Amino acid sequence: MLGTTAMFGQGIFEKSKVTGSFQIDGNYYWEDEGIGITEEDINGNKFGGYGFGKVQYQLGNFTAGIRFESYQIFKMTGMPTELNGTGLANYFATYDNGTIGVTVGDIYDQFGNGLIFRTYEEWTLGFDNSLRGIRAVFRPTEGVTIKGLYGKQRLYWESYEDHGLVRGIDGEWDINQSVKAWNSTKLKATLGASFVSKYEADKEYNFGDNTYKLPQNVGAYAGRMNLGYGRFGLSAEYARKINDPSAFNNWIYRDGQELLASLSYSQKGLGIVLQAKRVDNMSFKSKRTEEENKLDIGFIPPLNYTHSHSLPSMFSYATQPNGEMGIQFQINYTIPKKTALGGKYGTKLAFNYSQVNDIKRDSIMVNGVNTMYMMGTKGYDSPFFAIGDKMFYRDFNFEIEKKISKDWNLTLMYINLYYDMETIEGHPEAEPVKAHFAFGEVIYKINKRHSLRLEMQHMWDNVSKDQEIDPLQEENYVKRGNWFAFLLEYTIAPKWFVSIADKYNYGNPIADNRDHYFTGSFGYIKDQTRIAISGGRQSQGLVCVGGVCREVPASSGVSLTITTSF
Amino acid sequence: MKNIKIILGMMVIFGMMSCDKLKEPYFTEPVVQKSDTIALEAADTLNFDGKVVVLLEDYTGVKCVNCPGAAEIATNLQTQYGEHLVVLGVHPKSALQNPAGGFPDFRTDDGNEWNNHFNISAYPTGTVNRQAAIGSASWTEEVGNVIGGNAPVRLIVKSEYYEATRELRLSIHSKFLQNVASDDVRLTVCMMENNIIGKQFTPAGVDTAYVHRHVFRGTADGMTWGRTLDADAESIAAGRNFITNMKFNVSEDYNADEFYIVALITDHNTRQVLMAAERKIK
Repeated sequence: MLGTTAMFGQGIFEKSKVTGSFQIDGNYYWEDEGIGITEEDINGNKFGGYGFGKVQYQLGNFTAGIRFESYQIFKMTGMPTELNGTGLANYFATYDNGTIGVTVGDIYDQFGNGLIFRTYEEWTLGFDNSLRGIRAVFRPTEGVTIKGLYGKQRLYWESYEDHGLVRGIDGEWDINQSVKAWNSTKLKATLGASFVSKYEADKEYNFGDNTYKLPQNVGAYAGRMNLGYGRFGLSAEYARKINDPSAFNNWIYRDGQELLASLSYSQKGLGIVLQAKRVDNMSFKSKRTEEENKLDIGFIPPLNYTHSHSLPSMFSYATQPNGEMGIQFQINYTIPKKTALGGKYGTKLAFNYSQVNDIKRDSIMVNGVNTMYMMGTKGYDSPFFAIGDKMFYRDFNFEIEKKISKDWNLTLMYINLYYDMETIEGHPEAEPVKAHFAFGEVIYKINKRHSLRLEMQHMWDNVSKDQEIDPLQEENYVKRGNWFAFLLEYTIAPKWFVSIADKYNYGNPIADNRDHYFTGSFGYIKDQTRIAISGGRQSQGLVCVGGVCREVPASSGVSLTITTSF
Repeated sequence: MKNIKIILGMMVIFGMMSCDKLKEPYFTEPVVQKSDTIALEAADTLNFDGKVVVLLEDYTGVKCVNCPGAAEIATNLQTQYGEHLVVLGVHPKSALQNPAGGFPDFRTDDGNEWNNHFNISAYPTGTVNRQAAIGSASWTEEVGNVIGGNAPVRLIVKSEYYEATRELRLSIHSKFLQNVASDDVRLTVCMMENNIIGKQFTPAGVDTAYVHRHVFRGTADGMTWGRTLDADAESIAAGRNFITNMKFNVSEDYNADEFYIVALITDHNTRQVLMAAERKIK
């Protein structure tokens, strides 16, 4: 008997798999009058830190996991201070035998492109809208997946009690997998449909002397397809949402809608993607009084190039759920090796154009009154294909990457950017940014393990150094004017790296803002563990991931990041 | 394939159940307008004897056989206690209040919401100062228990009625005589019409000329549970005065000669009526 138990026990341990990851971010801040950080800003809070630990256990069809988080952060950290606290932020258990799967606990999932449902976590933004509840997945036959879920969403450490209930169902049909005759056709097709409804108890909202009716159940539905034929791909998703008056849309009752479409072509050495989207009144939250991106149920995918270089990334686009129309065109081409232009190693070219405008809105007149965005009305009319005059963002950029020799690699990039600061950052009357950027990077491989990377950037802004600034508008010029930046990095593969960098806003129209932002970093990597220390100045700006952005203040100090996984 | 059809069917049903498509107008403007204060006269305060005025709500129905018996109890109690008892005959929205068959329609949304709050499903049932719902057999005892107490609020309704336009102006004066430890003290303004002749079920059959007494016609300002007197206060201290003014037109459907305003001061957290007052407009 004992022997059997022991053998059984041993079997379980052999089949079990435990994985996990940890991250700790520590910060030490100091006063820095040069960039306007006074003792008052720091207010004695010199040390800050935050971190998480995630552990997952798997045994056969069963998986369970927890994530523990702890935050001791301040305004300077650039993370939402509502996160301060410590606790078990996420826990779940899943059983999935391939046909049926059930999850209880905190769920991350998305339907299609996430237009009407996406729960996810983004550590760098302090964002987590996971759904605490139940999910069931059913795969009745090959190629068919049906998901149903319900629960309430996380907002920092707030009680789940006052958050609306989210219920959703999604079906996806991969025709090539489920229909025998289609198994090996050239045409590939997947169809999907989803429905999500949120419930909030309030039926009425009193504002001023008026009483506004509120829908307790707000439904949203979406249909999607993915088609592929040889080298061509076409995908589209359309979503619609019924009346959903909220603080975000100024309590208007217009239906929301969204279309996302993408056409692509790819072959060896060439890739072309054309994408378009239209968003109209699609903020969908599980609590109608929330603003910003809190308790978002739906997600609006950005159709923009994501700049990773320090100067253009200060002007990242934040998606506009109340309305936007955008297109993106991307072409990647590799000039083949051993040709006149391609040289010995080939040359990579990339071109990207993206533009986002407002949608066109027409007034609805009721009894001679213009009801544009008026609380308690439909708000406006908007012809589906009409583009609004106001441009929010435009970016075209061109990149050449060339390996010159065995040891030398060169990348050059030009970026032309239009950035409507007023809309994207919510700064009233801010002048739009119309800037050019040049970027160059050289990597020199000293030997097999040692390499040196030099990065240089320049930004030419339409705001000149001599421009006179209205003292009331100074806030809007913190990062305006010309910039120069460089980075020099020395890497000893695979374990060590050290770098120094500077960003210099030498062309700022306000003399006090013509600051250097020096930073130095040092890192060590071993197996799954990475330790990085960096010190210096951080400029004020937006941190954006996937079109979701957070404003971070300027700071000065040292930070330490440790990540490890097993 | 059969499974998929079932699932698709379920999705459609789920979708229909989970959408509240609203129709315009999306908001209601206040049904009453702001008005000037009608001042108290010396007689108003001199007549106030400092005793509580009790509210008896009679949840009733035109097709409820036993309701006329309960209405008689209420009328007798009012005869006994005079102006210290206010009666409202509340007609919610169950089958017993359905006007089909030529019965009068006294149903109101407000009355229905009160009914639902107190979980009343059998008629006649009543509440005394909005405490628990009780059968009519207990009304006499319960009213007797609370009558005669000291009034926490001096509540006086002043009105001016203009016959030609049917405009009614109200000034409701509430002066707190005791501290009230509630952060949500409210004033509810009810319309009541007395002595309406219409069909009613009785134990003897249908009475086509029954006199319906104290019929609640809805709240004057559309605020079912009343308006908060001081949203910022944690409690209302003795000595505080509130004057609530409003004007509106009395509907042509109501007989102005038998039209009353019933004002209630309530503790919204417990729904308890602290004080009631009644005013005949003509």
